[in-house]
Amino acid sequence: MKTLKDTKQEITQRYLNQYGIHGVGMDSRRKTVMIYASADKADERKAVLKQIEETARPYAVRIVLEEEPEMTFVL
Amino acid sequence: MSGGHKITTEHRRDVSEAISLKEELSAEHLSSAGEFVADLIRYDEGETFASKEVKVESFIHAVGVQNRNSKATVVVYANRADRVRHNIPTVRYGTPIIVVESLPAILAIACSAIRDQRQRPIQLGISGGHKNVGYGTVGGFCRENEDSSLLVLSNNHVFANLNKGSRGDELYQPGSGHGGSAQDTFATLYKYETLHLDGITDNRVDAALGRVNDDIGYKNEICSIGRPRGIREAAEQMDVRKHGARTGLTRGRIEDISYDTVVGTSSGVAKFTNQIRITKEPRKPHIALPGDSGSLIVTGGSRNIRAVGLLFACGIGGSYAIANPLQAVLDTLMVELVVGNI
Repeated sequence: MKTLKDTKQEITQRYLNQYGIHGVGMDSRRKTVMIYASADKADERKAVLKQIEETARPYAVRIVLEEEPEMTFVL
Repeated sequence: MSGGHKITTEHRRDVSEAISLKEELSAEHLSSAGEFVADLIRYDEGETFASKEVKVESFIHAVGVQNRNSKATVVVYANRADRVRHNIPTVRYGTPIIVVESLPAILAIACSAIRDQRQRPIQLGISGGHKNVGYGTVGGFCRENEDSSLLVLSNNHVFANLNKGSRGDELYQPGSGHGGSAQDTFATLYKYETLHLDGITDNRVDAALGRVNDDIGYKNEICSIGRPRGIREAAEQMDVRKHGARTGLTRGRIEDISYDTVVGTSSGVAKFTNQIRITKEPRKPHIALPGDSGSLIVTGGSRNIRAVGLLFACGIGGSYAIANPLQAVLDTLMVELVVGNI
C-alpha cells in the first residue's frame, strides 16, 4: 500500500500551484493529506476535489482555506 | 566621625570580621548568579509567564555589610528571601546575617527592546540583511570546521538579496530598513544556496551565510531565548518559539513536517518541498511577519535550547510560518551550527 507521504507527494506533483492550492502537507496522526488553498478559484477546485480524493484514497483529504504565504523580509 | 559616634576597637573588629564573612558568603553563593539573572531577564520579558519550561529559581545576587543596631551585619540579597533563608545561618563566627528580598540590578537594556537597532556584540534574532535588502533577521552562528572563521546564517533572500548578491557584499546590522549603512557592516556575503524561482523546480532551503568581520564582537545568544545547545529534528505537535527582528519573541506549534508550498517573490515563484509548517498560538495575532526571515525556530527549555528550523516565509497576516529543516540547511551549506560558547 502506498504511504501517506507518497500520496502527499503525488498530490503535490499534480495539484500544487493550481486551483488556488498553495500548500500540500500531511497530518500523520489523522492519516490525512492537508491541502491549503486560498479562497479564490473555489469553483475550479470543487471540480477537481473528487479527483484529489480518489488520488488520496485510502487516506482522507482536508482542505484548509487560508491566505497564501509570502517571504518574510522587508525590501 | 560626624554625629558624635565613637568608633571603638571592638566595632572595628566587628566590621573586619563581617567583611571577611561577606567575602566568604560571596564566594559560596554568587558564582552562579549570572545565569539566574539571565533567566530572570527572560522572565521579565514575558517569555516564561505562559511557559512551564523555565522556572526562575530563587537565588542570591548580592552580599554586603551594614551597621544594624550598632552591630556590623552581613546582608544577603535574594530575589525570594523566604526560599533561601533556610540555607543561610542567622549567625556565623558571631556575626549576624540577615536575608533581604530584592530584585537584582540589571545593567543591560533588554536585547529585544532594541532588536531594530545596532547591537554590538552581535546577538541572534535581531535586524540585519544585505545592503540592498530592507531587513530580515540574523539567525545563527556557524562554522565550516573547528578552525574556520565565524559565519552567520540567514536566508538567501535576506543576505543574498534573492540570488542577486555577490560574495563579499556588505551585510548590515541593523538592516538598511532600520537605518543601517556601510558603517554598520558586520559581515560580508560568503555563500548561498541558489533559489529556483520557476515555480517548478524543488527548493529545499532558502539559506545564505555571511562571514563575520574580525573586529566585530559576537554573543551566541538568541534574544529573549538564550544560547542554542544543539539541533533537534522537527516533529508534529512540537512546541517551538523564535525571536525575529519584526515581531520579537513568539511561540507556536509545528503542525506539519512534510509541507510542500509555493511562495511568491518579486522575481518569480519558489516551490519548496518537505518544509516545517508552524501555527501561531491561539489568541495571538501572529507568529511571524515580514522582517522575521532568518529567525531560528527552537524548542526546549532555557538550558536545553535546540534549533529546529530556519524561518523564511509566513502566511499573509502571520497566522502560520514556514521554516526549512535546520539539518537540511546545514547539510546544504556544509556547515555546523555553533552551539554553546563561541
